[in-house]
Formats: sequence, C-alpha cells, structure tokens
Amino acid sequence: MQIDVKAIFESFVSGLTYLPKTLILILVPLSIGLVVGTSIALVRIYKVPVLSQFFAVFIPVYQGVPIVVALMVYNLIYLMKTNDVLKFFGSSKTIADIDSIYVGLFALSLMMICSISEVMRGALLSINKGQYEASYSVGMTKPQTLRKIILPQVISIAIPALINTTVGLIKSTSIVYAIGIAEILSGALVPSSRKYTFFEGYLAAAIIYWILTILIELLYSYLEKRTSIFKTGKTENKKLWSLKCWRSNTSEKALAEMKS
Amino acid sequence: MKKINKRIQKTLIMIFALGLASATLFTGCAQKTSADDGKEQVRKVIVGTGNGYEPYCYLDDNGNLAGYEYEVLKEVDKLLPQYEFEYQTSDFTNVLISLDAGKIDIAAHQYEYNDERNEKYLFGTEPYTTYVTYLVVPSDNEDIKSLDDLAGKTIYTGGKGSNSTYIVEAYNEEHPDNKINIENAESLTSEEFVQGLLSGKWDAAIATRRDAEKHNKAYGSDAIKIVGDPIQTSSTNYLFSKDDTQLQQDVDGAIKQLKENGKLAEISIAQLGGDYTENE
Amino acid sequence: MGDLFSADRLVEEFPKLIPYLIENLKVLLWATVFGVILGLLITGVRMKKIPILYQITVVYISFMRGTPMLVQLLLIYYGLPAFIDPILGTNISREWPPILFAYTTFILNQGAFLSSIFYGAIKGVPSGQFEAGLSVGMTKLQTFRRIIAPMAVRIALPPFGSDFVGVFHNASLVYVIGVVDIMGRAKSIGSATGHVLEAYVIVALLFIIFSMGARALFGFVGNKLDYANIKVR
Repeated sequence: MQIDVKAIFESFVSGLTYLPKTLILILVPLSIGLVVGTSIALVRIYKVPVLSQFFAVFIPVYQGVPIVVALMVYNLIYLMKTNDVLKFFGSSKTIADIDSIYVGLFALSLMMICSISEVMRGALLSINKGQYEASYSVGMTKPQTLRKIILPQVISIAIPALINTTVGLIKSTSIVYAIGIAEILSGALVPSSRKYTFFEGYLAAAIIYWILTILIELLYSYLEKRTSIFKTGKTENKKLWSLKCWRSNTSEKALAEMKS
Repeated sequence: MKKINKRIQKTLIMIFALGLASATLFTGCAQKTSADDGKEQVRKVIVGTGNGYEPYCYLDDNGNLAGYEYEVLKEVDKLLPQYEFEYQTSDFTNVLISLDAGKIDIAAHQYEYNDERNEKYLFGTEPYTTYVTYLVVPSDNEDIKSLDDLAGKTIYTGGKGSNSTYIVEAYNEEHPDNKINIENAESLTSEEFVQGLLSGKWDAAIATRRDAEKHNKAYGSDAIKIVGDPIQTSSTNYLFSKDDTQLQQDVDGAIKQLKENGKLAEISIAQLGGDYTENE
Repeated sequence: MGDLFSADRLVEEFPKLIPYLIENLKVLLWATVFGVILGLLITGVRMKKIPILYQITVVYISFMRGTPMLVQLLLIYYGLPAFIDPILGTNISREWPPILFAYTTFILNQGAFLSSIFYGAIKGVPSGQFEAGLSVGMTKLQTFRRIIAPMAVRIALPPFGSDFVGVFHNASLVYVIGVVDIMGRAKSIGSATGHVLEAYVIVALLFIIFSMGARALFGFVGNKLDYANIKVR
C-alpha cells in the first residue's frame, strides 16, 4: 500500500477545520456532566429518598450500554420521532431545524453525567468524616460546609480521574461520525472521499486526536497544580482511589502521581 | 526481585513466542492448501463487498453473504477454473481501502465510473449493471428538480466513498456560492431513508429508480419519488488493482459470456426484480 | 412499516443475534490474556527503565491512550501488514481474517492500558512494606512474591475490572473492519428487514447484563482478596 503524504496533510488541514465542532462535542457534555454528575453524586451521598435509589440503579445499568449502541438508538429515534414530538409541543419547527449534532450531544452528555457522577461520588466518599464534623463544630451550615470545605477538596481529588474521563470523551466524539455528524474524523475524510485516500484520512484524524489529548492533559496538569493547595493529608487514599476508575479513567497522570 | 522478574520475563517471552508461532503456523497452513489444489496453480482471489446494501450485498437470515453481487460472482467463478473466489465483507467505504491495501483483488459494490476512481484503480470494461441515479424527494415536493434547487439545503448521498458524494462534492467545488450540505451515513435501512426525507432531515437524496422503489415498497406507500433528469447515467463495474490486468480481462470475459447466455439477466431478474444489465 | 418498535421482532431476532456475541467475547478473551502478558512486559520495561525501550513505551502508551479505538482498528487493519509483511516475508494482509486484526488491535491497546494499571499498582504499595519484608529476613524475591505482589494484585483488581468491561464495550466497534460480531449482525439485520431498533435494543440488553455481571464478579473477587486490608472505597 502506498501512503500519499500530501493526502495526509490535506486531510489533517480539513480535519482541523472541524475542530470547533469537536470542541463543542467535548465542552458541552463535559460541562453538563460536571454540573449534573456532581449533583447526582451529592444526591446519592446525602441519600435523598427516591432519587438516590433511582440513580443507584440507573447509572450502573446505563453504563452497561456501549456508546456506539446508545448513539445508534438515539439517532434512529431522532430520525423517526422528532417531528411528532415537535408537533406534540405545538412547535412549528421540523427536524430540519434540529441539527443531528444534538443527538451526539445528548448521547455524550448522558455518558459524561454517569461517569462524572461516579468519579465525584468516589471523591466525596474519600473525604474524611472529620472534615464535616469539624465544619459543623465551628458553626457552619450544611451548604457552607459543602461549598467551602468539601467541594474544594473533592475537585482536587477528582482531577486525575476527570482527566481520564475527558480523554475518554475526546475519543468517543469520533464515534458520532457514524451517524453523519461533521466532526474531526468526518472532516479528515472529506478530501478522502474525493480522492479515495481514506487510509490517509484515518491517519490524519488519529494525529489530531492524539494532539488534542496531549493538550488536554497539559491543561489539566496545570489546573492540578493550581488546585493542589486544597490537598488534604489523605493523599494515600486519593492515589489508590483514582486507580479505581473506569477504563477511560485508568489514568497515566494518577499513576504517575503515585510515584511521588 | 531481579531473579523473579527474569523468570517471569522468560516465561512471558516464551508464551508470546508460542502465540506468534501458532499464528504463523496458522497462516502457513492456509498457504499450503491453496498451493496444492490441482496441477495448474489455482489463484485465490479475494472479493471485497459490502454487507449492508440490500439486494446487492447483504447478509441473509443465517448471516451468510447474499445478493446480486454474490450471485453474479459465483457464476463468474464457475467460468474461471484458474481462480478460486473468497469473499470478505465490510462497510462500503472500507472496501476500496482494502483494495488499496491489497487485502482484496476485486471490489464489488455497484461501483460507478468516475475519474478519480479510474486514476487509482483499474475498472472492468464489461459493465454488469446499469446505474442511473436521480434526485429523490418526498412525493409531495414540487420545488426540487435539480441540484441547482438545493443550494444551502441538505442532501443525503450514501456512504463517504460513494459516487453520489463524489458528484455533489464536485458540484460544490464548481459552484462555491451555491453549496449543498452533504450528509453521509453508511447502510441506512429503508425506514431511516424514507423517514429522513419525509421528516425534512434531508431535502433530497440520490438513488437509483429501483432503490427508490425498494424503499417505497418497504415503507408501504409511495412516500418518495424520483425527480428531474438523471444525476448520472452510468453502469457499474468491478474494480481491480492497477496492475491486475490479467484478472480484469478474465472477469470481463466471463461477464461477457454471462451476458450472451442470458444468465446475467436471469440473476438480475431474480435478485433485483428486473433486467438491469443492459439498459433501464 | 411505520412502527418503530415491535415486540414480535424483538423476540424473533433474539436467537439470531445471541450467537454473534461469541465474536465479541473472543475479542475480550484474547485482549485480556495477551494484553496481560504484554502489559507485564511493558511494566518490566518501565520499572527497570530500560533505555530506548522505555522511551518507546512512553510514546506507545500515549498513542494508544490518545487515539480513538475506531481509528486504531482501521489503522492496524490496513497499516500493520505494510510493516509486518515486508519484514517477515508473510502475507498477513490477505491471509488473516479481519478478526485476527481485531485481536491484534485490542491486545496492543490493552497492553498499554494494563501496563499503566500494573505499574501504578506496584508503585502503589507503600515502600515501607518492602523494607519491612527485608527486615524480617526475607530475600528480595520472597518479599516481592509474598508481600508486594499480593498487595499489588489487590490494588490492580478494581481498575482491571473496569478496564475489562471497557474493553468489552469497545469490542462493539470491530464491525467497522468487517468482523460480523453482534453489532455487525444487528446492522445487517437492519438492512435486510428494514427495521433495526429491536436489534440494537437486544445488543444493549446483552451488554448491560454482561457488564453488570462482570462488575459484580470483580467486586466479589475484590472483597475476597481484601487480605491486605487496604480500604479503598
């Protein structure tokens, strides 16, 4: 097989022009995941009735579905039912007004909500009870304790695992290509579909994802340094805990840290 | 610690070597059997085709390859004793990469002629199906008649490597201020195809008349129709590697024979519901 | 047509799909067995910081971690023979069926991920444990085998379990290189019958059952192995 270097370059450039789309596919699910996922973690930690039981079942079940299967199902429902739903709500809009990127955002956001809620729950659990008791004893309320004492520690503890979740997310964004959303991979394949240089297109896409992952890791390690002032003495727990994560969470960073 | 590491390493290397050896053995066996067949060397030819384009190439109820492509090539194989065909299926787009990579010798997935394909691959010269593509729109649509009516609108053109994609990409390059949005997806079901058009997800799609009829039939009503002049009138050929002229000539000869003895038309009627081998 | 979902089709397609789950399980098995071996080898290289090899593993792990499985599958399916065949004089490009390339990709990928887990686990055993072992008169080998390794296994088990489930999920992508696994079969049923939702629902159900089962199993084994008494919640 002959590899056309020029075609790799063309695909690389073409793929990069779709970077904004991929960034949307990363940032929106990440933000939603952080907010909703943390809330769910709190619901489960504080054992809010009904909701905490619901999530205790829903999250492990949903995490059993591969993202590609979930995506295919949502896309099918989106194709078949969007207009009915819009009509039901009395909207004059049609499916043409609703880009299929929303299907990708929905699938990825749900995935992120689940994995971040697990990360946050683990981080919350790893905080010593004494921290709560100490805060209450100086007269802080529950929300105050949470905001001023617990969450800062949790975020610092959770960062290695969050890196991994994000890296997993970056890679998962490539799967939305299967339902025809224009992002890096499909962008890299645009020149390929004119010149039949698909292998070069895949290669170019791989390089872009690789760079993106490395950049995200650098960004996080910067953040980690910034937040390290909150670190508690319980680093041993944190190190061990960060290992206990989902595949995408098997963190190089967390592991590197264990050396120190 | 060093000692145990070494011991572990040794064992591991051995296991790994064993694994590699068994893999090589496996491939070695495959080579032998193909060389021993008959006096004259029978060449093993791998045919690459799709698995999601009914009725051309798809998997039947038992998961076996079926369809027009397979039936025709089976007959071709019968006529060519010097070859032995094997089949490998993948996504439409990836069939051509397999040809690039030398994984397959013949690409069979209703390939229409275009210049870029011709530059990279060797086309068969004996077409085996006509392939006339039209714009497809919902039956109640009266506005769209040609690609020019689609500026700023969205069109579905099949998989990434399809000729329809190629045509619309070329159209976009020629009409930079009249661009059409292209959407690709591999192997849609009839359900998705029809619903995609009816719901307005895509304003139009490109398909052959018989594919449009197939979708309507599966959907149960005349929900979609073809409009305007053909986007492209062509026929489909097999694709070979650039230097594989011998195989190309032999397959061409066999197809010619199948045309003359009426076998090809027979298969077309049985598989596609009509004789689409000469003209529509 | 028009009906998106029918229970009849769900029941009808169930037995058609189940046998194809074996393909995914085969990928999982190969990836786990040979991935562990490769992972241990890489861990050895990283522990001993063997020059050149060490740098190679750094780049290798970064690549495996930084690029999507979908792309890795395609790159190895099409690209690996271009390296191997000229060197070894083989012709794996044509003689290997797609599933062998799926195995290879998953083994290479798992080797990288598992080496991270193993490396982290060994480093995660407090260094005092090693010193304690030596101080009671054990040899280095004895200390490693009796003290360090069991604790490292205990530490590595939970991430190993998550990784195991993750690999199984990723194995649903092998259809892109033409392996007819459960996902490939679901798609082909879709194109033959015109309906595909039921098939996807079945696939999702099977994956949920398997994932939860695997998680429960690893949880159980993890509790059994809790002799090191490291509390990890």
